[in-house]
Amino acid sequence: MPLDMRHIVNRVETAIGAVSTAFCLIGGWLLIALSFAICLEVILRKVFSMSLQGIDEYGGYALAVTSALGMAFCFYDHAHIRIDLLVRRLPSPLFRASSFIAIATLGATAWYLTSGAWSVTLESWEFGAFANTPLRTPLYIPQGIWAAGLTIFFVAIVVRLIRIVIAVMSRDYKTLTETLDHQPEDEVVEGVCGVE
Amino acid sequence: AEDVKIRVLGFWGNQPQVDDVDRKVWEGLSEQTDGRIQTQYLTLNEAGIKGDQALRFLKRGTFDIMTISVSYVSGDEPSLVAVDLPAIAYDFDTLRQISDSYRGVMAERVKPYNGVFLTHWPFNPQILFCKEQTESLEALGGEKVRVSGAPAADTLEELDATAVDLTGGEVYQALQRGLVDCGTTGSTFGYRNKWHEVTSSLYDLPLGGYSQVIQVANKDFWESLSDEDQKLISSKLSEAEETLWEMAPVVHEQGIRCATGEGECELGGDAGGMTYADVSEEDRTKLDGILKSVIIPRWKESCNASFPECGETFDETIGQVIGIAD
Amino acid sequence: MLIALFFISGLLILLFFGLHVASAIVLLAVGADLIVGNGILIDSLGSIAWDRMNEFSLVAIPLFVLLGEILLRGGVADKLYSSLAVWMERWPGGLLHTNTVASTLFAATSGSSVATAATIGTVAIPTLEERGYNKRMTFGSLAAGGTLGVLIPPSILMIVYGTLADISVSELFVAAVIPGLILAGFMSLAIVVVSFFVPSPKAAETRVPLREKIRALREIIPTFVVFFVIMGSIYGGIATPTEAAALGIICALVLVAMNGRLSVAMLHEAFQGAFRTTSMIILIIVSAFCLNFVISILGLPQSASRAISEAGLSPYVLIWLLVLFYLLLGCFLEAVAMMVTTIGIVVPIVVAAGFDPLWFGIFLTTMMELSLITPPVGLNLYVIQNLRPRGSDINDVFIGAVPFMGAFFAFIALIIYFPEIVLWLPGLMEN
Ligand code: NA
Ligand code: NA
Repeated sequence: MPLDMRHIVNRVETAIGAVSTAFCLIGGWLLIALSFAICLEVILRKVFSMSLQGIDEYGGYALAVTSALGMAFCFYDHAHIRIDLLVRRLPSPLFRASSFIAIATLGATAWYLTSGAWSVTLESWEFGAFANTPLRTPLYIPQGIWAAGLTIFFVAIVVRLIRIVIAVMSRDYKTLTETLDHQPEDEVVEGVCGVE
Repeated sequence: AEDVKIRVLGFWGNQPQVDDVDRKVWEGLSEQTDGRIQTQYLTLNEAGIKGDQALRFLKRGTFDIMTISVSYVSGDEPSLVAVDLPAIAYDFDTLRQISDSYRGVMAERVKPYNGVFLTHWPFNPQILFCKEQTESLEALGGEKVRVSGAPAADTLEELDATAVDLTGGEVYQALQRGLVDCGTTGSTFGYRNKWHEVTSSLYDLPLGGYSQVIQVANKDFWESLSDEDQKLISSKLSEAEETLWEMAPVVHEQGIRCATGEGECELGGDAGGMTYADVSEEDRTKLDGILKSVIIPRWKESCNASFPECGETFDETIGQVIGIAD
Repeated sequence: MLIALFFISGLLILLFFGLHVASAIVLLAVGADLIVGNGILIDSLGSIAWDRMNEFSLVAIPLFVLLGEILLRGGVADKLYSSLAVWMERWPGGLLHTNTVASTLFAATSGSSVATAATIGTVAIPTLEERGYNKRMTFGSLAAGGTLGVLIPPSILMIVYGTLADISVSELFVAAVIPGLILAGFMSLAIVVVSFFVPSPKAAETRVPLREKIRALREIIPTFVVFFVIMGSIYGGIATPTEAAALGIICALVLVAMNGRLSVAMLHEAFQGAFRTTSMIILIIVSAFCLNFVISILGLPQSASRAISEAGLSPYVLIWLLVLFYLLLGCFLEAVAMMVTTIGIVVPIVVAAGFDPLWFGIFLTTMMELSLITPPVGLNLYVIQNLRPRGSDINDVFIGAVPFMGAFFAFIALIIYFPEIVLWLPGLMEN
């Protein structure tokens, strides 16, 4: 039985991973498209005193949507910063426990955000809310995509937790090492990641 | 009587209406009741929120009392902004009439958000600070103007000007470097933020409305109050409402004096040397045309979905004051 | 004040349990809310998150990060480094200066310190090890040089500060130019001083002819082009910082295409790099806003500023206490989180004490920079460590960073007592 479950969970995780990478690439192209649009806007404004209208509005949505869609990718890539300096010195079982708690807590955070995002989206739907801009975009559309992005983040964490629980039950040490042990790239993801 | 704790959300801080009147009213309640009523007053800046989701906070009961900008929330509840459309009035007497005629409607419209309507008052007309001499609508044509909100942007479009949306903190720089030609804000706010240093012409056209707000109580909270507390708070707020209506033209005038350097500037700092222009009779007629033929119909369309009678209601109330004949 | 200490120590404890920075902040906020706020935060979380994530001025963050990624993967950085090396190998301290100067130049196109350190570090470490430079000084100069990424404009931390404190990001960018160059100068000075004790290896016997040296300078041009597109469009009133970032991206795409390195695969790598950073930082910003919401409803900022103003500290004492505060906090906290969670409390206090919020933005950015090279939690130290073979001793990096901390303190003292250094250029722009 556990073996079947393991396969299913692994497959689900691979699928979510692929989806999140795909979203990340789509988001990147969105940013490039936005850059071209902004470039056009700047030229139109400077030379012809015209405006495309709505670049800033769509830019705002682009940030919300792309960063939400990028959350799951970030999770798989260990890019959400975690400071494990002290716990890393603990004996392995304790360190693994701390990793598990960290993932579970991140899951709770994702849950708060996701449920909050859905309630904001539903409110917008209920109120018939639109953006207070000349385009009067119905807000449930960008908010819905945003909430969906956060949902993927949440689901990714839940699936990971299930995978870990199954691995513990079936004494699958390889998976435990992969998901819970200190990853060198946790310190700083391969070269370029952090920000400051 | 019981102890009461009130969590109040104000509007943006650092303006006399908020710092000298609203905040004092709420914080004064504690003194008047010997500490029985405790209030905690937060401005939007202090809470770190933008204010456009105010009705949602109201519905959830995040705050007990909220100061809500009718224009910020116009995406969630378009009916309220009727009192604050661009160039709907040029003086505070007319504005007050508009407001009074629509009060009942606003009180009704906040009910679905679990709100109890308390008061309604304006800040200052959101007028134009321009780099170039701007004394007429014609001069405004072709200019890039920083505004926020759909009605103001629509009005600019009718005037062949370009609406630019910018974050508040970026406007001073944008004016200075010529990224935009004009920006709208209250005269005092503009003076305090030194817009007079980077612009030269003050055009007294309330393009951004009057930054009007309503103060609303969360219904559950309000009903939990004793009758006498309700009365106490209501009476304090009515007093404050009168003060705030009387204060608005004075604050507006002060800002103009300081920005132009004509007359005594009581706001401190080095007064500016801006020129001042009122809207000519001819231009008012033109704006009136835009208001009635474009802005109001578009607004009616936007609020129809959630409030099908909003057009009729408007004609019966504000329409009577500003003279809409159909 | 006690509650403030409670929050800070709570945060540190959660972090040291190994929680993610964002979830430690959210957990603290939700916990405080459940205990004293009756759950109002949980209801409002979605609204707060939407307010912050749907913000055009913050779009500058992914754009500047993507810009840096494109330049890095487009080969602009390694050419920049090798052309500078030709010029600097005979200075006292030799190629170590190349690290600082290359970091300074790359910082002028990148919004991030970590990206700057990683970019220059990747190129520099093999070269310097081959020439036999002291490895500690090599690592220290790279980690410290990288921090210039956030002081020299464009800067992600300044975008965050400007958005939160409602200060113009363009003005912060202008104000940071001179301080950024001065700090870079101080770092070079630190290299000169140390090189008296730890001599650098001799430069190659054969001198590079001047003509070749000048020809090498061509490789610096792309970096300058991107910098001038970004800063020129901001100063010239053509674009806001966000728009300038977009112009920079288009410009970088053109330059990389001219380099023959533009490809879909390269862009996809750059996108992934950009999203790692953006989503991570946005999650921290959102969680920090949740915490801010709770603590301001608890009245914490107000009572803290009241307590400070009643203490009647002189402005200088106050600011040096803040130096100490951020130094200590910076040893353990990650910079964005530290900035976002403290701005709401500290900025009103500092402004009330008579400091210019623009100046404070530069000061705060510098303190955040310093936190990037203070152990044990200093991201840039780990970036450099990460570029070394597995199992190397991280203490080499820690020790190497020490002389540069000295440069930071000298610089901080300088801007505290001569605030004109920060305010002069923006003031000049006004007239
Ligand atoms: Na930079
Ligand atoms: Na540190």
